[in-house]
Amino acid sequence: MAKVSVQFTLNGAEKAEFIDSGTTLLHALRDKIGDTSPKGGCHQGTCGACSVIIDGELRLSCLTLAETCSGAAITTTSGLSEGGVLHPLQRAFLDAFATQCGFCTPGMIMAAKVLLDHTPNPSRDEVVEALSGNICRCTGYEPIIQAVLTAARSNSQNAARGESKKMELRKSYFADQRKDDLHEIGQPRPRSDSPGHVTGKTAYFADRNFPGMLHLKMVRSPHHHARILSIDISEAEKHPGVVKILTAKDVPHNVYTILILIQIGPEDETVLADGKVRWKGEAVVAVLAETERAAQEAAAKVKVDYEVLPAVFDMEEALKPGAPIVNEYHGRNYYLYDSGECRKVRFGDVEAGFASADHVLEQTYQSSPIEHAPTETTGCIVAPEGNDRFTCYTNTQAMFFTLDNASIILQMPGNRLHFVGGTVGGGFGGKVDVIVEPIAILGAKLTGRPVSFIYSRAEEMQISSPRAAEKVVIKDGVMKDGRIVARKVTGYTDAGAYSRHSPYGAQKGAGHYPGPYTIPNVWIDTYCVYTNRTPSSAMRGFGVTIGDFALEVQMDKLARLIGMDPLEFRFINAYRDGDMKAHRQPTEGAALIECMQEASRAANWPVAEKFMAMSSYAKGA
Amino acid sequence: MALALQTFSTVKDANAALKAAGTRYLGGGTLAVRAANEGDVSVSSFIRSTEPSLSAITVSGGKVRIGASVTMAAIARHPDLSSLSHAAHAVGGPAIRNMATVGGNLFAPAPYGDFTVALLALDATLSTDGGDLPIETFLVKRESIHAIVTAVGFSLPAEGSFRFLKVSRIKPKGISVLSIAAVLEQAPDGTVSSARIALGCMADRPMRATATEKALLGRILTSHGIAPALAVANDGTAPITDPLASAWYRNEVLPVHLGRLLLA
Repeated sequence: MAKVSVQFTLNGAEKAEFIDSGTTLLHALRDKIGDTSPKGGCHQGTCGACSVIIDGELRLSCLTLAETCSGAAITTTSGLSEGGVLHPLQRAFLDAFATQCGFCTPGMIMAAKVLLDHTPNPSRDEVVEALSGNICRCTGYEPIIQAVLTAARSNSQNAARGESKKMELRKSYFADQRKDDLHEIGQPRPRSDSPGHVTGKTAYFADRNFPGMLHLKMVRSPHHHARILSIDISEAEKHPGVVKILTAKDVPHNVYTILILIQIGPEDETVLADGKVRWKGEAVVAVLAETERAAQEAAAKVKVDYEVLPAVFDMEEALKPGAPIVNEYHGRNYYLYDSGECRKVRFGDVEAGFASADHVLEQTYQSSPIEHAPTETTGCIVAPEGNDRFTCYTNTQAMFFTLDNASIILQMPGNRLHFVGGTVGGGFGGKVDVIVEPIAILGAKLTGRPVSFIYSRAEEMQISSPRAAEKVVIKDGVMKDGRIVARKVTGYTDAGAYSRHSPYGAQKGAGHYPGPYTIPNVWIDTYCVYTNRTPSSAMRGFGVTIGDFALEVQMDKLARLIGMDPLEFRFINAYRDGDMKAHRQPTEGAALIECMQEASRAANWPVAEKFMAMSSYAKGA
Repeated sequence: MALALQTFSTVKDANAALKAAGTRYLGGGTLAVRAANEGDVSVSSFIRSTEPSLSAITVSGGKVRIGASVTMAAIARHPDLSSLSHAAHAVGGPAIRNMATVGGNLFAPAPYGDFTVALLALDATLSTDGGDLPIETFLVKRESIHAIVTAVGFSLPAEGSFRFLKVSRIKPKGISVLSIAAVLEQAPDGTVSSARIALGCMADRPMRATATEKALLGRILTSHGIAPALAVANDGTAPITDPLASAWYRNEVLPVHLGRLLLA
């Protein structure tokens, strides 16, 4: 591998390094020089997290070869603060709550700095345009835009500190329900992690580099459903730089399921495919090599012979008799609950309710899978320790779930596994699936070397679990006066090929319907269905969110049907403290009435005075 | 094989180096380095040239020559190319525009390559060390062209005759659903006397909308006047399907956006 010398200034300091030719500036800065403030979110020029300033121009360090930067002056976010005093942009990001996970923040600040260097008093449109190459998945952009405008104002006033935006806490609601005598809780406070985010000092799992670290790349199924006839790794093993290649037989307990920890089985998923693949993208062979490039090249030399099988992608098709069986560990294309083929909630007499209703409306709602698309991809770095223990630096959102499942999969006592979490660069529920850690630990165990397994952007988008596709059928009986007297919901959750968290998601749906409304007659069935699609799993309110979309669209349709204002219609049916929910939990702490009252004011959507006088915890009004 | 970069001071030497297997020309890196990052192991050697002419823009007597290494940002801010500024500005965010080159854009597969749509409408000529070739010829066989494109040349469009529209789903900007570039000339009575229209994302590379061009001749730019042109807007299209839009969707919305561009 040809080494080349490269010299440049980084944040004013001279740097000279010998690097491998073809190394990106991002890798050179992070792995050779140790400035980890530029982040690798996509390595394809899409997310902007790696943005740096080269000779006054904003550039993407992931697409810039380091050796083309000789003689250049490079600025990164880690170099902006001077003598411990934050740059006005950093201060403004801090004050405006413009950081959440913090992974995009260094890139955002770079883009903003170039803007303000050339345009000290930008318009809002100019700020939006300047940030248009930087993706934030957490904040919704508005606080970031406000932070840049604030920093511009503070610059123009030649002040180090911008206008600080104070968090507003509306304490008039439920004032009689609490004492409000706490010093921290209930008080506006700056986020404790923001100073690290705005200076690029927050450590994410990948901000580590161990000598001799191996890189793991996965050979994946190109088919939705196929039998594996043979796997030939002989050519790949001979490839220069390859240290170890893993197949199913190397994994001590290869068939697992995450929720077995809470007795939700059966074990139904393979760490590495064994005999069959059940979705396109399924992990088949793991390649460990000295460099990412060598691992990629060797992965291309792994030969897998498949016999393609019929696949099923549609939940209704999957539930029909004679449909291809997706997952033999279940033996049927739905999850068998202790309640039978679905989770069931029965409350009152729903058929009698429909019979007494003035109108009955049945509608079907469907959603597609949704990817979380965190700017930081799923991954971990595992370091073998001298005492036969393994330290796993991971961005999992489910630390102990992952540790315990890794212990089962590796048949290794938990006390040999040391998991180190920390700040996650955007999760949204997408990093709870115990996918990268067990195989990376196994690789470290079998090679005795540190192992890095980090999803590429393509893997993050196509391999990591999305929110499940759902189908929701809602049938309602409603009276002319606005009361809903009966609601029947049939929900279908597309788990994809494996359970992961979906049986739980479908169960949550059963508990969540009929939504935040008090309805005397309710019938709920929710199914968890297997198809040959990417396994789905958790995502912000999974099992609930799509149901809420369906329920609220249905509520609008019902209001329209009886000619009633949709907000007033919701006031009539809103649940209140003490109401019995369909799954027989009494309602507590319902604030829906007050929330809608505030929404009515904020949206300038007036409702009748009697609704504004209602209360969640005082019946009668 | 590990990646390596070879830098040559002349295009001639870089062209010679490109004859070796496993080589790829490196412009701004937004395509070539991305491919390597994403696991394309077919390329083991990047080749680039630092010949100064590659980075030059000359505008003289209504003729424009843009070196292949010129970035979108350089075009967008050039005072003599203000009519094209909008098209150059449509490419990527600020960092991408500081890196992405005209030469690279010519090779960008759909949904990328918006500026090439503009160059196709402008009837550009591409220069190589082996001679010039029209952009349409180039686009047909660009995969098999191994010579470095050194520059693009075209005549500056008459004032107000060049129109460009990029449609994306993300504001203020995102990757193209489609893009349209048009050079329209009108007679004193308002009728279209010549039309050259190019479409992006309506095939795997930029294409001419020849049926639309013909149907516009002699027509005035009113809803009624352009109706026949819109009716044939989808002639010969074979749009891409990608995560942004299906081929069906692109075909459905093309006449709508084309209509807006023509009536603007």
